[in-house]
Amino acid sequence: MTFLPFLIILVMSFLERTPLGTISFHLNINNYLRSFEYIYIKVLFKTIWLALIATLTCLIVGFPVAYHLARSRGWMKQLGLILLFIPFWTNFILRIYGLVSLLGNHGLINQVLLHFELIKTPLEILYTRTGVYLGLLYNYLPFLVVPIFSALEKLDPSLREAGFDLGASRFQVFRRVVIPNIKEGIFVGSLFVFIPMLGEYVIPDLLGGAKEAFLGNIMVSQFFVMQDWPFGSAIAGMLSILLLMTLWIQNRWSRSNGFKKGGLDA
Amino acid sequence: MDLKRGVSMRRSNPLVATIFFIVLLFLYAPLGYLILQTFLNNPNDLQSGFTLNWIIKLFHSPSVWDPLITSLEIGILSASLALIVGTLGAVGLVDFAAFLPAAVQSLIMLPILLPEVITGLSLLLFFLLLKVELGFTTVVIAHASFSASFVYFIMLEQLKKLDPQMAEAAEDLGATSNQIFWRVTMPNIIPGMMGGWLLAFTLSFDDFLISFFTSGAGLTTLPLKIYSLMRIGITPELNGLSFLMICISTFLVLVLVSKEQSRKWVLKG
Amino acid sequence: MPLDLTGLSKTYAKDGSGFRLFPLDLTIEKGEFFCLLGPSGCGKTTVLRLIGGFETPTSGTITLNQENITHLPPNKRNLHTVFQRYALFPHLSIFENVAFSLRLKKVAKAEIEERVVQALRLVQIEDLRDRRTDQISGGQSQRVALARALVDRPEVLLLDEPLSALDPELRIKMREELKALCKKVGLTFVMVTHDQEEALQLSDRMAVMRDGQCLQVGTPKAIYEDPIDPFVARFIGQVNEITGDLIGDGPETYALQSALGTFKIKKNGHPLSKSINLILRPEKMRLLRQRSQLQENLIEGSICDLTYLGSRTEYSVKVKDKTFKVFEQELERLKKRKLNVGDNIYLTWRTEDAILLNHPNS
Repeated sequence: MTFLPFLIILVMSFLERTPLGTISFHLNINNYLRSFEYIYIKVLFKTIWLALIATLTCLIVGFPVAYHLARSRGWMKQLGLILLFIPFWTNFILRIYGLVSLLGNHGLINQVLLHFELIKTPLEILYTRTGVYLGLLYNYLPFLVVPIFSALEKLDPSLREAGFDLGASRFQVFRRVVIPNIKEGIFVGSLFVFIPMLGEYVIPDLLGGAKEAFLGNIMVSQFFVMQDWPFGSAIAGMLSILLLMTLWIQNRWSRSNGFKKGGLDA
Repeated sequence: MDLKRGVSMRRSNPLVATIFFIVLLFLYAPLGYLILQTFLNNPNDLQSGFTLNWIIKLFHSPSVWDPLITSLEIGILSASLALIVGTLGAVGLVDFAAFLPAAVQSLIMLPILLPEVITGLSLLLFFLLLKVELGFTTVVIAHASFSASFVYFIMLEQLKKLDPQMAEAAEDLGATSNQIFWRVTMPNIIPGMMGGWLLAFTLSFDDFLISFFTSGAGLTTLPLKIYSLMRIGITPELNGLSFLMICISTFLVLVLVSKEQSRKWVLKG
Repeated sequence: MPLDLTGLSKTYAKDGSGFRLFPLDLTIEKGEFFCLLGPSGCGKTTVLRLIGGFETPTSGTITLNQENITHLPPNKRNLHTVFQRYALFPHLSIFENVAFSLRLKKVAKAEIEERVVQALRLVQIEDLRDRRTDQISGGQSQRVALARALVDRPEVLLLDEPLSALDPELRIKMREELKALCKKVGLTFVMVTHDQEEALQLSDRMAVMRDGQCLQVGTPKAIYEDPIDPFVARFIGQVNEITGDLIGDGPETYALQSALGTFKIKKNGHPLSKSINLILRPEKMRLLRQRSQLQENLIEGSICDLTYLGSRTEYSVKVKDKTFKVFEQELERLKKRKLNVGDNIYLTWRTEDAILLNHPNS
């Protein structure tokens, strides 16, 4: 039931748009060939690149956050988790709106900087690549903190103690005991942040504007602006294949490495 | 000496703690600023002085309350629909789940795996091809079909966790297969069903993109309302609404946490 | 009225494990405590599940009181199972767990109350009646499972490794209680276990199984003292084995020639092949300081290890390349003998204490 619509989009991607704007039932793969044109490949690589650096940043920033939470005790840990999650129980669009009003030309940052005369003209953050990047970071960070945190929580504390007992320094324990035991969690967590970023539409739309379109935005504009449903569907098909391939590879890789759980197993 | 090291092992190092607090600041700055703006005479000017006008106005503004009610209605209906479809699917497939080819399993997972924008567009195409008029019904169906996948996997996990010996024990004690379902299986999956319904409701209530594609012109859910106000620019009405919603979500998290906490206490006691 | 299994077999064709239960004939008497004993994968649980109705036999019949129940579903058989992990219903209180079968039968409220309380009292947990299943210990869960199975008075109680999930101390205590319960309620108990000590202590009779075959059925004493198969001998208690060939044939005795010497063995009516396993229980063997003219069966060896266990001492005796286990009780007359590791000694046994079995390969 739930996948019937996906079937429609799949069939659609092999059809053709006539010059009159109607759809002709002439099966072909021209739409897919067209999606390899330079302009679309450029967008694809920009999407991958930005998702990749945003994921890495999430990882670099998220790891200490998870580590701090896992190390704290009792009500401190409880409070930390609550604080981390309240923003994510707030409506998604609202969070974006918060970022828009913070980063905009009349936003808090520019107001403060202008007031103290640290800058002469407002900083251009909103509707630039930085805006998109911050938006991705803001929205995906907790989703990476959680898997790392739970991997750290599951780690038997006596493993660390055994490490110290056997003469390792704090850094050595971290590198040789902690990291090897949670790297699976980190990897799967990163992937589950990276993949939805690739398919992002709202964040580049609202924080990046037309210049910073992701593949998802190009796809939507094919549907609503160009009225070329078959080509839009072909982009959706390409994007889906890219995502499912990534998941599939991760799944195979996890299994062959004897990992307990990950990816499609859920 | 060793004792001291043992204590320091428990403590995070200062750099890690600093990063933690910077991250919290980053997460709260946009929301905090929204709240602050709600109380400013001129939301775009920090020095314009404080007021409660915007909050008061909010309570007299039907253009905010109507979308809220629409969102609640859609959430309740679609979550209930998703619960029925997802649970029936899981109950029907649990015995075969292990034998289903991975490809079929992934098919059910598509709405979870693929980006929302693709889900939304394919649902839109689906409705357009069926020549269904976009509106309340299509949004409910779209949300339900999307969250049914989530419910399905929650219920599947729940059913798998049931000890198969329990059904055998019931049968051994004289229960027919109908009685096994209603007297043993059902009562044990109700907590999962409640969780599944809540998740489906949350997904629906929070959803912007799928509603955006499948709602047509006439229908406005709360996220769609926020989006359209955003397009206009920063309005005081929007800030009031933001304040209200941040309060609601904070309240919900606190209720959830305190429920969890009290459950733990009951178990210990 | 007995529980009869006739030619009962089961072949798992689909799952590829290749496991088979070979045709089994067994009669379990009313009121008997019967144990199915064997290592894991021997088919004992399959037998229990066939009786319980959770599996369909490939061939054969099961009759209870002369009624054929082979193809009845579990809910139509007048017997109940106590599951290995107890399978208590987590959504019901202890009381409601026990009342489950009575409620299905629409028994009157007052009678349910009375019978459930009675069942709870039988297993000594009346005070737990309103608890939830996650608020009681393993031993208590065990008792609830027993009460639940006993409450509607089945004819046979099937127990699937009921004690394996308990800690050792509790296990021993529950053994005594199970035995007492069986005698008190007068039901037939059929229990599956892989613990030979448990089977010896509990059963009136038992069956030893291996690889889907029933090797021997009998009382614990018969099985311990007169095993008909080397596997049975090894599985129940400890053994020392000597293999050899039958040579002489006297009026009352044979002679066995082995690498360790020639030994006299008593004729006991069993037909014997040429190749023989001589089985000696460690507690039936004696250690001597000096060669004695009175003893017929003597092996020279040296003590390589000894463990003092209070009531007895366990010795390991090295004879050529074999090690024998010998358990000696701490008798007063042996106190002054003082054996130490490295001492040269002689092993001996009474001719009638040796168990003779055909060598499996002959």
